[in-house]
Amino acid sequence: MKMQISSSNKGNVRVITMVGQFWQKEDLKAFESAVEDSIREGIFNAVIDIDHLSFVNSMGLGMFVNAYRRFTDAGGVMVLYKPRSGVLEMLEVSGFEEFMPIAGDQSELEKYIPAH
Amino acid sequence: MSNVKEFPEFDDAELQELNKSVLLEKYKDAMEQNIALHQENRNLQKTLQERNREIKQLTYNFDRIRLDLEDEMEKAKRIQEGLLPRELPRMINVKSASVYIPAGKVGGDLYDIIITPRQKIAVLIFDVSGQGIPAALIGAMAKMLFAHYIEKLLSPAEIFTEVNKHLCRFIKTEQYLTAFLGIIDPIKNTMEYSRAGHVPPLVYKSKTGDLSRLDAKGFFIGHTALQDIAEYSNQTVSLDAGDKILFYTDGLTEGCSSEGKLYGLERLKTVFKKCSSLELEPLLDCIVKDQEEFRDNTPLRDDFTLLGIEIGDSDFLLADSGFQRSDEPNILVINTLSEIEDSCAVILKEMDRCGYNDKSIRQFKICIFEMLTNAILHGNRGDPNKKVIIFYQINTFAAAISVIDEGEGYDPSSLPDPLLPENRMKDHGRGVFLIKHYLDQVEFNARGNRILGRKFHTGR
Repeated sequence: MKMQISSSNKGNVRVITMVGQFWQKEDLKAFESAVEDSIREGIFNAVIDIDHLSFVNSMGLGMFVNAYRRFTDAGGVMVLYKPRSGVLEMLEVSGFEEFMPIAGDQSELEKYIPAH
Repeated sequence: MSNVKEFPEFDDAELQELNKSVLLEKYKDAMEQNIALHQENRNLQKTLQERNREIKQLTYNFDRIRLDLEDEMEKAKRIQEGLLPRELPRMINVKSASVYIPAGKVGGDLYDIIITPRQKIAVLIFDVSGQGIPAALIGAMAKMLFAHYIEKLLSPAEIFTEVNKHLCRFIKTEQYLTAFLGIIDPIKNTMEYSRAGHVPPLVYKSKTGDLSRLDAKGFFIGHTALQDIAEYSNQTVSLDAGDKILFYTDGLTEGCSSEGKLYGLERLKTVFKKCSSLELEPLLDCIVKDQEEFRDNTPLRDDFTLLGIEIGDSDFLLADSGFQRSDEPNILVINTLSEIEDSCAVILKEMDRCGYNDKSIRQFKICIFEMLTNAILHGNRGDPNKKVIIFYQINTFAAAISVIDEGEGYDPSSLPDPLLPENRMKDHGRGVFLIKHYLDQVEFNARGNRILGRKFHTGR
């Protein structure tokens, strides 16, 4: 399935939703554009909704790291929301839980972004 | 009694009157004749004009039909030539070259090389009887049928049986085709083949210098009279590195000299053997030139095709892959990122068939993507002209994959550990780390351009 990336706002939070399989460079560009749009608009808190992200490769993990740095450097926060078991396993294996907020549900998400 | 007729005597006035009336009568007759002639002349002119118009119309119609026919023939020729492969596929361990020499009209020769889903190499050549539009149509139909059944991984004889069955239903003329199909296993270095009345290809053995013909019994394809009795058999020939196979159509050997002599098989064999040390393209050129010299400007009666195949060294290829010949690995070849998904699907389908659980399949999928992306983007630096060769073997013991690129290689021990705090915020360097984590065995060759990984079967 081709990757689909969409953005929406919930208050002062940008929600970037990823649907499909991520492994291509074109998808990387689309995601980076969504991140840059948010920063340009002054929205520094972001939820990356990956509930429907069925596959991600190491390039995708690198992309999450870059996005995380962009939002936190701007003074905000970025949370990976609802990763599927396979994607969560990759995030855990790669040590992401050590430094990047990952929320499995709404209550966990609110720990990182209370207003959401 | 005198028989002399006596004429009445007239005086001058009477004579003048008489002359007048005679002249008048003659004048009247002449006038009537003249009018009749004039009328007839007008009728003839009218008829002539009508005939001229009809001739003009007929000439116009004839020219239009001739132009239409020429246009149709040109289109048919373009269709037939369009069915010939523009470029032969890049293959591992096998080289190929081809030449098609048209004879002016629409010919019936067609050929193709198709890589099967199991990376075997199907070499097909066939010749439809007759020429023109019917031959082009039958050729197009046959080519699609052959490609369809080659994809289904049937044996050459089974493919001929299926194509014959379908063509006999469609061809309503007396036309038929002769064909030869060989399916080469580039690792085992064998070719399974079947012949359907086609001229047997020639094999040049590089080790001994011997030349042999790949003969086998088999009927024409698509001939309705032979529909129920057509049988085809499979034969297998062992090949060695450097062996060359020459597939051709009979238009080559049936080329005539100015004295009406045929070019023939013996002269072909002689020139093939004489030029066998050449690369494929100059070798085929050599044969074409020899036939041209023999014909000495005598026009070709039929188009002809030459298709050359040269076998490479599978031992060298296998040794590089990390697999043994007895492993009988499958092979895939890709050049670009867009081909990764399809290759991955083939391998994962095989894992599913062998009873691997979803978690193992998912983890193996990540490793395939990482290996192939690395090979294309880092190994081959995105160059689509460079190949990535994938060897894989899936059984109930383990799933194994070996990926070789054409790059300079790298030292895997030089890769940083992405779990170290100083590397966490880097956006790269996790691919090989994930492969090592998810697979049970990972090894690299000395050059660093090949990675081999295994994941053991842990049940459903």
